[in-house]
Amino acid sequence: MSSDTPTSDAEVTRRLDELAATATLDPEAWDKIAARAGIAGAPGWRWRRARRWLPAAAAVMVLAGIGASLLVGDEPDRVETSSSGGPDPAEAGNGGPGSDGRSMAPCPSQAGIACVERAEGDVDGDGAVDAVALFYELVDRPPAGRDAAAITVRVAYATGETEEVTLDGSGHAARLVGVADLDGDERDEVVYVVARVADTSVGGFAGTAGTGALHPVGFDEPTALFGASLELIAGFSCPDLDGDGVRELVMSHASLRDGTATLTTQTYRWVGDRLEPDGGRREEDEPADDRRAGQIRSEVRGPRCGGLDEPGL
Amino acid sequence: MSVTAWTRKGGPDPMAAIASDDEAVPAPASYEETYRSCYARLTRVAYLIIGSNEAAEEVVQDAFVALYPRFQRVRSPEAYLYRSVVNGSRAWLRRRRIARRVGHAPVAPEVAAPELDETREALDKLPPGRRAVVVLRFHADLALAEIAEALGCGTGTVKSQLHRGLAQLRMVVER
Repeated sequence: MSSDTPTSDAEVTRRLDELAATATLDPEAWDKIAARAGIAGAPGWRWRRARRWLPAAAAVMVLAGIGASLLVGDEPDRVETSSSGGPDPAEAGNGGPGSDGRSMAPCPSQAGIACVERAEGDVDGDGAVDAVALFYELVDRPPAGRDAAAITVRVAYATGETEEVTLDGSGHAARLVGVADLDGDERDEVVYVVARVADTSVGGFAGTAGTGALHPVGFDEPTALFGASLELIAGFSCPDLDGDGVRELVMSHASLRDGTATLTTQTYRWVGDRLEPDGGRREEDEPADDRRAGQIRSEVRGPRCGGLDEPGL
Repeated sequence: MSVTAWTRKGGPDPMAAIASDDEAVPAPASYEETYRSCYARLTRVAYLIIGSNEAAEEVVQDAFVALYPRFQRVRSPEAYLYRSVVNGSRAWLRRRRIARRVGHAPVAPEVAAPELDETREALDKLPPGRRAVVVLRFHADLALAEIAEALGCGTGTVKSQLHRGLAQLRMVVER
């Protein structure tokens, strides 16, 4: 441990301190923070404050198929949908109804695109397998390298049509939770979550595709799921808890503190086309060491809502 | 800067903030004081974990922006910031991994002196979580419990990660 060899510990500290001293500080950092946080008086604070949730909120509206043109007009670089009549050239092997869904490649095959997760499901309810993907578009941000500029959820239908929703990805992380029929309408919903990577609140959304335009379901505004950033949210599952043929959405989070593992779960049920929390969050504690905590995390992380053919990051 | 006009002397100590349901706008003086006392330290911590100055500033600024609406409710703004910065740094490293997977590795950080270069290289060889533990212990001088809180893990994990990380770093510094 660190007290064994104080000389080398001190040497490690000296080395780290010297390296840290080479970091330069942005003299305008406070101005930027104040403006982004919406502190009154900072330049552009009203617009920036209003804009904080705009990408997520706008995405839901686009999923609704209402006001899309208005939104695209307002924020053309942030939110857009596309629906093409023919096959997407990037989707080689899209063989139509009954074809092997794995041969469909809804992620564009080009430099600068990082395909995060793929899934399969019957999104339009025609009995054929559709392909779904969540991918990041990366841009140069020297000297930091490449960073996410946009997050896109794309559905490549077995019919050859594609639909997609694109969100501003800067400073955000996203996961495809799964593709499953949550509301019992025999069409699978695409469930994904978007969160600011440094934030403790998370926006969760569920969307479904129907008659040529993505249709909204689920949360109509960013919903705080847990007091943890996205990577700490352990898992999502879609069981039919009450056996009524409509699946619920269960979100779980495992944490360990002072030898106690706490598993927090929150169930959401369908009320019309909205997901509403079913009661409060449920917490279960159990004594656990690091190993047991790891097991709990793995268990909770396990299969999500189905349809995923690649594990999340 | 017009924001400084909000500064009030004698405001509450940000580190003594207690949990509250009060949704009132936070007192800018305390928030700004937290910024003044923590920003540079957090940026250096993020820089050591990430290796990129610009990304480190982005991560720390994100953490401060996220803190603002919660300032009066969080028990310890400093602990909140450390946790946000560590999470943000690890998320940034994860995104960089994605970039590398698609063949776009970021520009390597520029470090002038050979010894610093050596330290950077040794740090970069540590897994991100272990690197964060080493940086928080030996640079930020946090206690094991504080590191555990920042990383959302137990002190046992911190101890084992510290032991392994230190062993790797010693191989470099004791050459």
